[in-house]
Formats: sequence, structure tokens, C-alpha cells
Amino acid sequence: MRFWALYRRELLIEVRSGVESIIPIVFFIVVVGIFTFALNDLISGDSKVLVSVIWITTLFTSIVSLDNLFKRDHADGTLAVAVLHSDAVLSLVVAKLLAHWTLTGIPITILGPLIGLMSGMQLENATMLGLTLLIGTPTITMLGALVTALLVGLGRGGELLTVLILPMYIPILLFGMGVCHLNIDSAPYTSELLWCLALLSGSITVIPLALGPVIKLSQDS
Amino acid sequence: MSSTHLTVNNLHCQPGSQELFDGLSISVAAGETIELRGPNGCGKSTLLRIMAGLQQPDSGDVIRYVEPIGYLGHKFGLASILTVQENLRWTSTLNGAKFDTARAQELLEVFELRTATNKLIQELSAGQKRRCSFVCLLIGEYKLWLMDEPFSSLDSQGEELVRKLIQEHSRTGGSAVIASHAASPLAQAIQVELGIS
Repeated sequence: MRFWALYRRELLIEVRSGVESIIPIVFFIVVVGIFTFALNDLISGDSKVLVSVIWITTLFTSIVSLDNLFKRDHADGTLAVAVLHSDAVLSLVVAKLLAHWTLTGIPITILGPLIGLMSGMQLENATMLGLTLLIGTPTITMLGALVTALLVGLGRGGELLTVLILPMYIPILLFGMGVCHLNIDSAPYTSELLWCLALLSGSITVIPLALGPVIKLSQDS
Repeated sequence: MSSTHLTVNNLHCQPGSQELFDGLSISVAAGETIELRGPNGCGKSTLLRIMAGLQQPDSGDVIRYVEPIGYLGHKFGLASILTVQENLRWTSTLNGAKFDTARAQELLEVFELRTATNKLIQELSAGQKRRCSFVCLLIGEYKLWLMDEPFSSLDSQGEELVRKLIQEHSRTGGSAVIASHAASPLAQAIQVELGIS
């Protein structure tokens, strides 16, 4: 019950913040759209290029959206209040991450395959793209949240966030994109898909537990 | 159950070139109010943050016998795009308690915030935000309060109300550590003078 109350609060804050909360999705659509127009010849002949564009744009979209994940709460002092409630911190961070994924991960998971289909991708390949994004976007949220939590107390984000996050995204990018490419080539992809699931399981299990102490540590700066 | 709420033992803290504390020890017992006084930069806020666990000292121990702690820092600790009521509800949620609407309304009445119940925090004045922070503190039912300049932004009426509130809290077995610049010290508070070394 406490978790859902915290989750509703996070969603409410995002909804009240208006345009700010939809900027990441607009960014995703605009960037993928630009690539689709610019690389039209390449994309129409090879779905792998579009899959790569969608996956890479997903990573950049997460950077745009994650910058704000803890910043607002840090600025108004609610983050400091929250970390003093040690038994509530886990619920709070999971609620925050789930709300973030609800508003960025889920739309990307839906929009990615839709853009693929509109650009001539086969249904089977678009479905696989959707599946890998469904597995990949929560992993991206988890990894990004860890770096964001470390940086929040320093009052830094933006460029430093980009430099620190992008290398951490490489495994999920390679495996996620790899599954889609192998599927397009009708090659076996089970091993890559299992790696995606392993990364998701690992990040979901470990990162929420680590975030509480990391946020508390970030207050000491 | 121990009647001590918090102890600080042999605290050393030197953030940068200036040493703030060298072997500082303080114990806060139930029913006690400790008022930290001293000039700007002597480490009052730092000590409160260390007591709360938001900052680590260079050495020394801080033992908290009661948790969670009610902390009122320089920031109001209120989500600016949520209403007063939603912020109060959040405090209850953090404490795992059911939100008591009647109690919240009663406290808002005391703090003259009844008409602001459904207003966003960002629409309130600094004094009203400070009052709302106190309502959160009371809703949270914390035993130990750590308050950094609690009278800032408050008018004389608000300051008097908060003084009474702190006295009442101590009388009912709660404790408080307050960093203050107020001209007149708190009645019945133990004064701890911090200096710049």
C-alpha cells in the first residue's frame, strides 16, 4: 500500500510538471524521425539500420529524462527527508524508477516497433524490437538511476551524466540490438536474449538496494 | 527502552582548512531541548546534518536510538508542485502510517493554513512553507527533531507558536536539537555554544 501511494505521488509530480515530463518522448520521436528521413535509402533496404537508430536513440532519451530523476527532490529537500526513513527508502526508489519507466520506457517500447512498422519493418522484426525494448528500457532506467543518484548531490548532470552513463549502457545496447539483428537475419538469438534478461534481472535485484545508500552518500557533498 | 534519543561521541570534523569540531560529545535525552548557538560558519548546520546521518564526520560516533528522525533543514522539505495536503499525506506514507485527515486539518488550523490545504506549495509564501514543514513534523510523530533555523521566515506570531510547540514536544517526552540565531534563547533549552577555532 505504501509503495502504490509513493508511486501515485511520483506520477502526480510528473503529470503536474507538464511539458517537462513529455520532452523525452518528443525527443525520441524527433531524433528517430530525423534519422528516418536522413537515412531513408539505407533504412528502407535494411531494417537493421532502423533497429540500431531506435536503440541508440533510446539510450540518449534516457539521459535526457534521467537528469531530472532525483534533481527536483534534492532541490526542495524532500530527498533528504526521505533518506532519513530507512525502511521507506527502498519503496521510494522503486516507486520512482517504476514511474520513470512508466512515462518513458513504456512509450518507447510501444513507439519503437510502431515507427519500425511505419518504415516498412516486418511484423516479426518489429515484435522482436518491442520485446528487446521491453527488457532493455527497465535495465537502462536502473543503470542510469545509479549514476544520477551519485551525481545529484554534486549538482552536476548533463555532460558528466552522459560521459558516465553511456559506457554502462554498452552491454544492454549490444545484446538488445544483437537480438534484433540476428532475428532479422533469421539466425539463433537465444544466447543474446538470455544475456538481456540476465542484465535486467541483475539490475532489478541489485540497483534498488544500492540506491538508498548511494542517495544518502550523495547528500554528503 | 533507553531514555536517550541520540549521542554524539568524540566528534571530529574538518571540512577544508577550518576545524569545526575537535572531540565534541553531546547526548540528547527524552524531554530535552538543546539549542546550538554560535556565529555563522561555526558548524551548527553541519552538526545537525551529522546527527541526522546526512553527512559523515571525519571521526567519532553518532548513535541514534530513535528512528526515523524529524529533520527540518534550510530547505523546506516539501514538494513544490504538490498541495499542502498531498505533502502531509506523503509524510504519513513515509512513516508507514495511515493518513489522519482530521488530525491534519486540526494542525493546519493551528498553523493558520486551513485555507491553503489544497494550494500548491509553490503558491505559498516562505513563512507558510515553514509552517507547513512544522505540520509535516507533527504528522510524522517523530520523537527527535533536528531543526536548522526553525524561526527563519516566520513572523513573530509564528515564532511564538513554534516555541510553544517545541516546549510541548519536550514536555511529552520528545527531544529537539535546534540551531538558532534567534535573539532570545528558547525557554528551558540547554544552550550549547559553538565557536570558530
